[in-house]
Amino acid sequence: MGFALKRLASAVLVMFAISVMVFLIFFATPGVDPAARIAGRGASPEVLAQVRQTFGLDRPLPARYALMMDHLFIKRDLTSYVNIGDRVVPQLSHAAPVTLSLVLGAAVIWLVIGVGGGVLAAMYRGTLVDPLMTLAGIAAVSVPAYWLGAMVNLLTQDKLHTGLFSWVPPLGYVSITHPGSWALHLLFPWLTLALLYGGIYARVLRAELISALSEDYVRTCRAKGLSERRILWRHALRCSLSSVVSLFGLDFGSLVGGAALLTEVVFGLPGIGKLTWDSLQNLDLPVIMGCVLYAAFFVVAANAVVDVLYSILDPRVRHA
Amino acid sequence: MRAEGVAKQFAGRGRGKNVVRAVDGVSLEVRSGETLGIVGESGCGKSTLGQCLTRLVEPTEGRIEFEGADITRLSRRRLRPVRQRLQMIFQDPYSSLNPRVRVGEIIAEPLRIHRVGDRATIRRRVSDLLERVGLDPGLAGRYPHEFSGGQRQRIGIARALALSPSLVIADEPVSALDVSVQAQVLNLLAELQADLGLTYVFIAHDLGVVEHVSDRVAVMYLGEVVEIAGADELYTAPAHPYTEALLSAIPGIAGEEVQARERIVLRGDVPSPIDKPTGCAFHPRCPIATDVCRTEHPVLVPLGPTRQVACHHPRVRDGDPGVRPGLLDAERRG
Amino acid sequence: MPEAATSPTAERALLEVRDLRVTFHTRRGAVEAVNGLSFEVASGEVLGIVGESGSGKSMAMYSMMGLIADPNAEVTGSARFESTELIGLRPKELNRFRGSQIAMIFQDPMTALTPVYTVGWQIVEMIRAHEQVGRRAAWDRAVELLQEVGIPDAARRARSYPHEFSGGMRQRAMIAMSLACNPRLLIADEPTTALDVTTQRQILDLIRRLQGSYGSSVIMITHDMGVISDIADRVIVMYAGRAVEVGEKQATVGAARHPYTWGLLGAIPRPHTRKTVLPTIPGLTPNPHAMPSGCVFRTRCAWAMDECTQTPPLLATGSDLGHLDACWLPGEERDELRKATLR
Repeated sequence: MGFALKRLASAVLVMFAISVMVFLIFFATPGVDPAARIAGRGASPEVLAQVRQTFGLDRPLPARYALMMDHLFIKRDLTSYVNIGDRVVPQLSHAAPVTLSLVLGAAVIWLVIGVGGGVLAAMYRGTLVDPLMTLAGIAAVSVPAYWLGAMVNLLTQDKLHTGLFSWVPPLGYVSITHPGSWALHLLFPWLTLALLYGGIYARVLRAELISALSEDYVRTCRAKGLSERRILWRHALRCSLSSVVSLFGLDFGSLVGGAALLTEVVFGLPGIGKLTWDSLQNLDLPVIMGCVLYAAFFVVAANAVVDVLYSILDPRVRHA
Repeated sequence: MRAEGVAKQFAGRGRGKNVVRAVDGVSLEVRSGETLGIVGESGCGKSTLGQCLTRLVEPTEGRIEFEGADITRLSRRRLRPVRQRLQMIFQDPYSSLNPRVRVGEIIAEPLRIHRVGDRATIRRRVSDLLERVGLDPGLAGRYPHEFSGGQRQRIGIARALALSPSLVIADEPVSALDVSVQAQVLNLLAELQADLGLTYVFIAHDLGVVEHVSDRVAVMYLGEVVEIAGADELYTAPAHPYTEALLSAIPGIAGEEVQARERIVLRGDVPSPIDKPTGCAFHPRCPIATDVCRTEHPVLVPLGPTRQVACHHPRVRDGDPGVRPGLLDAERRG
Repeated sequence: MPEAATSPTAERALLEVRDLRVTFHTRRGAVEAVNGLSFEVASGEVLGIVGESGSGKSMAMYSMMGLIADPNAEVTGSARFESTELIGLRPKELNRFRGSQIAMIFQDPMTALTPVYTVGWQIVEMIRAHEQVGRRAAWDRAVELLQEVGIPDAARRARSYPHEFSGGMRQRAMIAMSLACNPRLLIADEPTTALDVTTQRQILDLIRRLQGSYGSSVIMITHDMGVISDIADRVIVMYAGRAVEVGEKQATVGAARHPYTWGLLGAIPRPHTRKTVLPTIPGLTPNPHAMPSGCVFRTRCAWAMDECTQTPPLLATGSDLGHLDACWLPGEERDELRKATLR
């Protein structure tokens, strides 16, 4: 209980620090005048002054910060500086399900690839399977996401679209309220994203498993007369999971927070990554602020979940 | 030259409110030219004590005197000349030598740090030292992994001797070695002591080894010295029940006569130094504990000119080696 | 070549090992970690195997139990357990013996148990791997076993994780686990080396007591002559992968006949050696890539002679026919030489 509270407090603190930082960077950057952005090019000094007044930009920095947080979290009516009238919160809540759908589906696939591949490679180390898996893993890791995505699109949407891939729907996102269509639209984005991460996970897990298999307790298991399969799955894999879990926490948090940008762009998915990217291009502070805090929340939350999982997976952490 | 350590330490590694009393009020002196053995089981604080004595670990309480001067509060710089005279040898010959540094460099390093002599002098000194510890000086260019465990411990000894120290604190120097190699290293240490007039503090868990090398032995339990005595006295007539238990636990060798000893098998494990038992720290495992042991903490009291024990019921009789005649009777009466 | 190390008292051997060899094929050539080891274990006896690191004593046990994971290792020879040949058995068949018929305990109890499962769970796993027992019944048996090896409050401690146990308690738990299926043979690989003397004492007493009540045979591997003296009935002294001396404990340790055994015994500090120069074995154990021909100990032996370039057979050289040693020195001179060496 105390642990959870402490965790929550530190999460709030981290998010506060991040928001202040983003705010300061934005306003302390020379040559950036939000009023000019809002008013549009060539606006008269009177209009600028008017804009400053309505948006509260003439107030001191701390007040401006408080105002923005009030609009974002309490009134929830913070609006874009660029596309006047566009509210930030609805933009986020439209983009979030897209990214979540993409990352969740991909995560399931890459965990299967990663755990399966890692276990296979460890089980067949010393045979031809292992170096082949290694090669496949390295290839998967080194292919850039946008290139792979573009290639997939080229095949499924263009070259083979009339034949083999005629069932593939056009790019874009369909809400989960139509589950079949939702999954079909996301299938190739999932596979593309999962391949990248699955390769890394398989490599990491293979190394962990092989070091676990040389531990003394594995020798004890063999002396107990347990089957190799049981030793691998119940003992070695169980003890290797912590590293995979911590890796997964970090990856999942950052992907949900917008790091899946390239995949989103290639497959035309209007997710958080895309939203962040656009707002950065326009230097649209309210949207940037919203996206950054949203991302920070997920990274912090994922870390907290990892910590909890860690203590479940490894009893030695529980009492420390 | 006299290392007089009246030391009292408190190593509090804070996790919550838990204070680990690794070394808890230890007072002892090391006489010039002698070997003082410190023996005890894992977790008794003997290694921490050794590191406190060289100030590798800062004692939280107490005073350490070395060669007549108080070194407890000396600054790093002022400690430097003291360190020349006060060296350590470590347990693990596999991890206490930097694997990427040539052996010659490892031995030369203290000489460089203390700016002793020029290049040629240092080189000569290194080959002298290697020869001294029984290694071929031609091996100075090799790396530690090319040597066996015993040879590595010899290198560690050469490094400790580089600055001609007067006192060497050896922390489990032979416990990682095979018996036959252990004997070689023990012989080497004895030979060096005789030739160079070294004083040793010899820390080990193996009573046989400690008894072999030591003039006097201090027995530690849960951070405290429970008995100090001449090695012979301690072996023939242990005064503390813990010492007695330690001695009786050593398995004898088949076909050899061993001193007839009542077998004392201790119950349970050593308690955690975080919450030490009240009174005598040993009382929960002691076969002869009484009420006074549970409430009153015994202090080291002299049994005779050479021995001290911290026990309410010392297991010695008048006439035992090192025990002042009449002492026990007088105490019993008083 | 090496003669059978037959003990005249052994009626029907539980384990009979003949010419066991473990060879590692390395880039720099073949290394023989165990070189033609033969011995047997009678039922109910405690056989001690003593030797320094690299003597091949643990490797010999691991090879019989199929515990050498190195794909470059080659195991030949024979190890007959009752009527089954263990060498060359497939892992699946071997698993019928490992744990149930032959159990093992290891040196370092800190790392020998899986850290993420409770001690009770791991004992239950062992029981259920070999017997058709329900979870509940297996758990009760685990608690009983823990109680039997002297773990206080066993019902609660069974739910503890290995890191919550002290070293001695962990070794007790390992012993409890090894006894779970009433093994005929217990192989203990340096079980007390990582422990303090008072704990070692407790563990040795425990093994002795349980060996008595379960009637199992024990192979005790150690480098400590004191431990071997305490617990073994018969002793094998190993050097560089070979048995150099075999016999009853009183003979092998108390009246040793091989120069290497003398060296080992002499090197132990004892009360009467205080402040004297300990007799040592000069030099180092031979490089496994460049073993001397003939007697492997001759490069370090004070009595090496011309004959020693021939491999000495393991034979009875004195009046005790069960006391064998591999040395060319005349049998009748041994007692005198021993006394001179060991004072």
